[in-house]
Amino acid sequence: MLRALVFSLALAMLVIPARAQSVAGEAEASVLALTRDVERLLNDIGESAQDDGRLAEIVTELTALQDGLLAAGVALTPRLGAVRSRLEQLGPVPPESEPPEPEPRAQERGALAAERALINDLIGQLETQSIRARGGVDRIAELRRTLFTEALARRYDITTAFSPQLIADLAERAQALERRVTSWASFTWRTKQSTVLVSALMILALALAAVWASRRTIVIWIERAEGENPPTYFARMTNAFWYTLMPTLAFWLFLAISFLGLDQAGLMRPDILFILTRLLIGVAAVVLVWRLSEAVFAPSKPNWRLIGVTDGAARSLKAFFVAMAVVTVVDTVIEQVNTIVGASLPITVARSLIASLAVGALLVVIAFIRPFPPHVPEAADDVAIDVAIDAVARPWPGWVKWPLVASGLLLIGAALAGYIGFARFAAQQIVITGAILATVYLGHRAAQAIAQDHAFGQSRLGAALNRRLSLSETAIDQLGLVLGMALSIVVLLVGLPVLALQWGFRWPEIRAFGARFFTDIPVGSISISLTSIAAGIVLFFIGYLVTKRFQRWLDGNVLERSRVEPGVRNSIRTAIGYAGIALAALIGVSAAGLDMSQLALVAGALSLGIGFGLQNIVSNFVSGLILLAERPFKSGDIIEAGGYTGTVTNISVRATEIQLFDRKTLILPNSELINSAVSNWMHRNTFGRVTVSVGVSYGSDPQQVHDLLLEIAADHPRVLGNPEPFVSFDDFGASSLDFTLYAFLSDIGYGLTVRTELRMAIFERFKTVGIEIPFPQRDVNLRMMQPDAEVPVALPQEPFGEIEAGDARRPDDS
Amino acid sequence: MAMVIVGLAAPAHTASITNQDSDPRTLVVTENGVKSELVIGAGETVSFCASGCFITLPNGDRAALAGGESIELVGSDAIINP
Repeated sequence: MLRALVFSLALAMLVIPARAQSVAGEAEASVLALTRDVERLLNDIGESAQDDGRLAEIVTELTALQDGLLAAGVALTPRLGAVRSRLEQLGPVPPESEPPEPEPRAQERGALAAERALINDLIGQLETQSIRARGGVDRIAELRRTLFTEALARRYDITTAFSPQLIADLAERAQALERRVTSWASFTWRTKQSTVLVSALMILALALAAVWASRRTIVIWIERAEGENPPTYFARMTNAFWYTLMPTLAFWLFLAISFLGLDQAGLMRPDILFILTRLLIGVAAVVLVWRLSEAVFAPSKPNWRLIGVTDGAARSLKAFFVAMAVVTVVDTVIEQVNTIVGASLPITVARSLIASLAVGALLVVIAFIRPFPPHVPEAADDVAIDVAIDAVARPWPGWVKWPLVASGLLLIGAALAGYIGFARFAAQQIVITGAILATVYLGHRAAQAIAQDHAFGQSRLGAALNRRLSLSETAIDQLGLVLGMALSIVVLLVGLPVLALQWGFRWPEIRAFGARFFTDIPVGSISISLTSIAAGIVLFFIGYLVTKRFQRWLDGNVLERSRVEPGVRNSIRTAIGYAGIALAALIGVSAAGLDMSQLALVAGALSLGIGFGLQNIVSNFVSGLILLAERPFKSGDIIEAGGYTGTVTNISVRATEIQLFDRKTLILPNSELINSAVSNWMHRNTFGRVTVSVGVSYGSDPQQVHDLLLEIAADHPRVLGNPEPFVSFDDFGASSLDFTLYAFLSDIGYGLTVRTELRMAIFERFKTVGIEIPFPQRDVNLRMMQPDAEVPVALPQEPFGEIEAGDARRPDDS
Repeated sequence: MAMVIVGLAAPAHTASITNQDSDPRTLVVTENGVKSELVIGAGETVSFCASGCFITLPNGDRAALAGGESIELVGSDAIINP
């Protein structure tokens, strides 16, 4: 048994190093291969030092290789950890003084140490190669910069470019191209006649089908009806979008299918394929620009114009953009074709010269048109104006016009002075940057259009949403606003990197910048992460929604069925709401990356100031919590506080809402309710007493009045029998015997009603039994003073001698 | 939806290293082919190596990190947790 164990242990120890050796062997081979790759690319740099395109490729390959080197290292690293921990288990080599360890153990230690050294060496090699690759990338950047500067600064003699040599070269290249095309055509015709015929027929059929389909669907979809009133801006915008996109896409699809079909049928030869591809891409680009400028400027349909320019300017601008596209595309296609039929310096110079001059001239011309309709007060900004007033149309603003003129003149000047490389580079940059900026501007206008009042609701999508989700108009409008803002952000997020790429930034730099921008904006010693903040906000809202859901569930499903009284339910719901929001805020703040300890520091520093400044609010807040916990009153109670009486409708954290009986809502700060006396009609129970006072004339029988009052009280359905109603004989009043009826109610909420009904009943009953409720009475004696003393006594019999005055007053109400 | 946003919002993949020693330690970091030294004070945690890097640990062992690892320096030894 023991022997078997020792044997298997020894076997295992032998096996581990063996497998490890093979792992390390594989790794060694891959490291070697990677090293060779780096070596090869570095050599390549020296060889293609003049070839900018190849250098750019090498950079891409080296960058990819960097990742490969790192990946190889990452694959090796865990093995190193395993070896190290095993070595630690084995412990150090025992000193001389101690007995030597068993042989297998010493062997394993040796093998592991060797493997550790090997892996360290391999990772070290990878690191070295990574550094070399980086060196190569840096060198290429330097080389390309030099190449670029040289190309820009190089001056050509343009007179020699237009020498007879140019004609000869052109003729020769044209012949070469013709030879290639004819040889390909005749060869394909001879060998694959049937395929060619079938392909031609199929392309024709495809074209017909495309035309038919577009007549049936696309044309209707994007129709621009000529009406009296211009359509809304949003309608024009969406129409322009489809107007551009659908025919362009259809045309592109047609080109792509025909092209792929020809290629698949084996009718293509690499050089013809190359030329045809460039040509088709060029045509596709021109078609796109043409459709887009037609959609935006709509020279013949002013109602559909997206930008408020005059008819003439719309025509010029459309022509300008199409001409720009054509010049750029022709220039590029000739350049590409030249690489096939052989480059020639005169042709290159002449081509670049013509292209730069054309772009420059177009820029200058377009700078001098007068695009905007004159100021007419009643004309809205977007409404196109008739051509009749074109004569006084306004020119471009200065900040558009003069840069255009300057760049046009710069191009022309540079080209004529012989700086062809610079002129062509600048022309391309201007054209492509202009195209990107124009696209971004259109995107921005689209975003504005969506965000406009009610624009989204009138769109098809908005209407569909309205139907499906039955959202309110306001909600749809707000959705439009959000969509508009989102579109603006997307436009910026796409447009800016593309612009940066065009201006020579490299993609990894842009990506790194973007990543830094969104995750790590340093402000002093702290850094702000936009994504974390967004995540914090999202988490907060999720927490808030969850709290609301939980509140509703608890209130509706648990508390209501447990017959908890409404006031308590309200308290619990409010408390849970505050706790949930506080929790969501805490989660949100920590997800946003705000350090709580730093926050605590700030809070500590500010707490004194806050203590003074927010004293009242804090006091109200704490009072609110006490009200919720102690519940001296709850929602639905009738209370008297601060000189007001009313029903409590809502106890919130700062103030309590009390609805007065005249339907006014009183908002009473909670601290008032805690610090001063509050009388609650419904504390613990709603039991209460009402009193009604009444006076009867001196001619009435007090006992009868007493009994009648008790009877009336007993007859009232809301008056309790126990404690029984009670009548007090209060006073011998000035003109009446005063009684008061005391009655108890189970719900004092009906106090006013019961008092009113009791008074009604008293009045009725007293009237029927003949008990009089007297007015206050007063006897006034007037003595008439006579100047003659013979008749000193006033005669009471005389009608005017005594006036009986009746002072009608309503009996006291309470 | 929310999960996607939270996922996007996760910070970029950086490795973090914690020195659990009482002495400062020095690492040699080669990131993107650029070699530099990184000194980590006692008890300090540092984020570094956003796009993968090679490191040389104080004990002479090397390692390659893809980013996202956390490393603990204990004595001259290092524990790399993926």
